[in-house]
Amino acid sequence: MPKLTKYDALIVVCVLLLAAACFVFSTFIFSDSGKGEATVEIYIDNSLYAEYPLSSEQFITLKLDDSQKCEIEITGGGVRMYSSSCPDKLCERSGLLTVEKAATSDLASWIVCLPNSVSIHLCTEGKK
Amino acid sequence: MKIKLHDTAMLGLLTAVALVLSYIEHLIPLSTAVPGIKLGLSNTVVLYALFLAGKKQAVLLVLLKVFISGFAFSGVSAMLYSFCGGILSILCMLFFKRFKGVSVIGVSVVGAAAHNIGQCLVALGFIAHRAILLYLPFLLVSAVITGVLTGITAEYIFKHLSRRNNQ
Repeated sequence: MPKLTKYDALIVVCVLLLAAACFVFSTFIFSDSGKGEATVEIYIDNSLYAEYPLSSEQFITLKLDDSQKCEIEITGGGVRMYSSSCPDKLCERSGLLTVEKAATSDLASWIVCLPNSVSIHLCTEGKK
Repeated sequence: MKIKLHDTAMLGLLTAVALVLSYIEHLIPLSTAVPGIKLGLSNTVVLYALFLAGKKQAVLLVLLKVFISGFAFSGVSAMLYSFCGGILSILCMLFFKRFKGVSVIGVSVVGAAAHNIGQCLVALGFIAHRAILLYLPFLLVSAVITGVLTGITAEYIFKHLSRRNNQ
């Protein structure tokens, strides 16, 4: 029967410690990034149109060319595309974008309305 | 010349076994539960190459395995992950093998852990998000478990193979 030598056990312990360190380190960073003030950036045709803090309760109506329009709602908990005049409504269907959702990946921190060239980015602190 | 032929044949044989094992591993639905977790069956072959065939063969085996299994089963982007994981794994195993007190099991655990760390580094390069770091601990714990298991398996294989060679 093969058995663990002293050094093998040491290696196992080291790897487990590394795992624990990684876990503590990453959860610490996560709790840190959640605290900062999040901002909502609204882009039209790839240029920054406006910026609002997430905590501000806002209802923004964007009047675009060709009588298209987008309505964006910011509540303390998140931001969403309330309604859009685009044909496919993918932006409306992406639902409420919260800080937790935005933290999962860079892609998940955006709501995009491609037909109207409007994009909403939820910017969390410490991540640029 | 004769030795070289023997080495080439041996390398081919080991590569074939490693590929079959990694194919069998694809069939076991362990990685659908938690992506990235693998049994690391083919690592037993790498361990065999490392301990009984030689350093050069072990490194060549890892490279061959990464490229062939990448093109045959998993695709080119997944190949990049297994390439970095494999290279880091074999380098760490080579390093830890030098210590006298470390047995096959220890080297196996080091290899499994380094493989996961290498893959996480690639993922960090692609996704550049800290969530990857949160994922690493789970992979490392699973690496310890599978590493010990494959190490024990490899040790049994060594014992039986060397008995055959002596006859």
